[in-house]
Amino acid sequence: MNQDENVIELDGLSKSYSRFKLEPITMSIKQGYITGLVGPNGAGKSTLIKLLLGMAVPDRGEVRIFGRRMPEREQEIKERIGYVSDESHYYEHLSIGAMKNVLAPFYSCWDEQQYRQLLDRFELHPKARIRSLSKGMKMKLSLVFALSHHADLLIMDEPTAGLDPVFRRELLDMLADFIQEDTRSIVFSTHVTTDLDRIADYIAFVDKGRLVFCDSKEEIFERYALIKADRSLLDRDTRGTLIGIRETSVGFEGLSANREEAERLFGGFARIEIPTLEDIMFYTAKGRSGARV
Amino acid sequence: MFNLIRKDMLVVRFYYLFIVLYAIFFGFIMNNEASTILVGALSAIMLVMFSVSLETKSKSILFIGSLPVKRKQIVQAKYAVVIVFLIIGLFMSLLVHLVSLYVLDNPVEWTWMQASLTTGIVLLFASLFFPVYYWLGDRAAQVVSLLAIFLAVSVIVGMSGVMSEMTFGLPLDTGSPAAVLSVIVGGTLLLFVISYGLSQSLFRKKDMAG
Amino acid sequence: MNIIISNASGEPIYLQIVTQLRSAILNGTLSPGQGLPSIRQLAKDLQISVITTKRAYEELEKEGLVDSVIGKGSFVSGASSAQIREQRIRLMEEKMREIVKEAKGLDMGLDQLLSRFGQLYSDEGSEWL
Repeated sequence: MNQDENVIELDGLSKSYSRFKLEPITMSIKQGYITGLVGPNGAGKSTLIKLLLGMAVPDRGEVRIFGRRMPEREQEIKERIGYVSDESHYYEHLSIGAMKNVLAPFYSCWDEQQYRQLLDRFELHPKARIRSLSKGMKMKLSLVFALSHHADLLIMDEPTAGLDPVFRRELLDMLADFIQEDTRSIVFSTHVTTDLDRIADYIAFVDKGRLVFCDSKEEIFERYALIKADRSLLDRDTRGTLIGIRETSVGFEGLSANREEAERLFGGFARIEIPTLEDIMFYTAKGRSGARV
Repeated sequence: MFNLIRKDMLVVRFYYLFIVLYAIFFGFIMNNEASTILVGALSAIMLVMFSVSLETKSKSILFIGSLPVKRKQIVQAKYAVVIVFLIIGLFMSLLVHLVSLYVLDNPVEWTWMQASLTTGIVLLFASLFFPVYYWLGDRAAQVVSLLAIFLAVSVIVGMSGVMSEMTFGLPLDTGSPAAVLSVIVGGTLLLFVISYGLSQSLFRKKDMAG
Repeated sequence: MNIIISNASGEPIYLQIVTQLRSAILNGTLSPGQGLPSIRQLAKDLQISVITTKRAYEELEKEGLVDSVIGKGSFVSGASSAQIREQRIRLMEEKMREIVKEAKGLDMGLDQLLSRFGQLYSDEGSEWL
């Protein structure tokens, strides 16, 4: 496998709505890996996914999937994509089986046997009306459809919403199964950092319509540092090196995007820890301005 | 493309019962000059409306947007489905006529003029409905569709008056039915084609949302 | 072979894998030529990312403990026993360094440390005899 092959390439992709703007984004998503699109609610994750799939039309910029341009070749591209949306958009009045009959003929690689197995595994009955399913069950159904046509790319928008922890763990296994073939890739978005980021290889962090970074988790955790120390260590210079600060009466906690610098400045006087993704999300969104004075 | 048409035909599944009810009510029970047109046009229009309202209710455009189809085909299919539903409507009106020959003393009449008026009304409706649907979204389309239905019904009622005049007031040889027929069908068909172009250009830049 | 990942330890996950696989290879739990689980399989089993597992395997390759053959997977390298011995000595030295640090912290002189080592060494030896 070519390690540098990209499954998705975005080039200066931007979009503005009346109340929200997605700044030009240039990034690539690696083939063969799992990429987590994380960021707070309203950061632009869903917009980005809709732009990827050609559901929203970008103001500017280009999307390439499997090396092919969207939307010119959207038909052949989408044939190879399994999409799990944040909410069910299937026809509510249909039964699971009837919905399958609507959906299956669109895909030349529809795998009826796989579909049946997955339904069984998720304890979904083909006669059940979609309207009667719980949010979690609808998410499972969405997964069944996404995984039944031999897709090479799985795109999931907030897939863990509405799923109980037991199934979330099972989902991890299924995604890992999917990715056993190194030509396949997964992109998922989430606003809560959950068990899902355990298996993510790359994290793309989006905040306020801006891509903050898109790196491998290994690099991120080596770069960022969480500093916990006495407030007396905070002066103008040291503050300037921190992305976000949370001060309390018993000390401060701050995030640095430069571990070496942090160790040089605070080493010996502070606890320097590996932050969690949640820490990174929290401090980046919060910033240092709000904490000053 | 074929699969998109198939989708809309499958989605309205239970709603086919409604057109049977229309046939019974407007055809056999009402049984007047407007019956054939009402059965035909109403069946087609309601099927189009059901398929669209079911789609907006589930925000299914967001599911359709993920399917391996071209954006263009989504609009193409919608207009093609109108033709399919129109054929179903015409077939229903013909069926009402044929059945009534055996069960009613005063059978429901079926003429080519009525069929072309049905066609004209359905094409007119679709020509208005879809551009508004793609331009202003589901809410506006619902309002417009209600207005369009009202308009269509009053047109039918008006036309039925005109028709009785044509039958009684005008001698058949002065107005050629074939000419009137082709003007109605041709005119609305032209409108339908223009409407299709308009919908395509509206949908090309449209963000699919709920 | 067992690999146990702790999220609470603060030690990078790839290092935890390296440490555990290395000791399994050095102490003979894994023998030369034996196949290791594929990178993707191990990632699945441990519920961690592929890149993390990959990094661990690359680290072990660098140390000469693991060979990777494209298309076939990763194997415990057939390194000569001398090489492995060398590796083990290096590992032992690491532990010794820690002991020396500890001894210095306790203000213990080299003589004292050596005599204690001598004591322990002969105790261990007698068990084997």
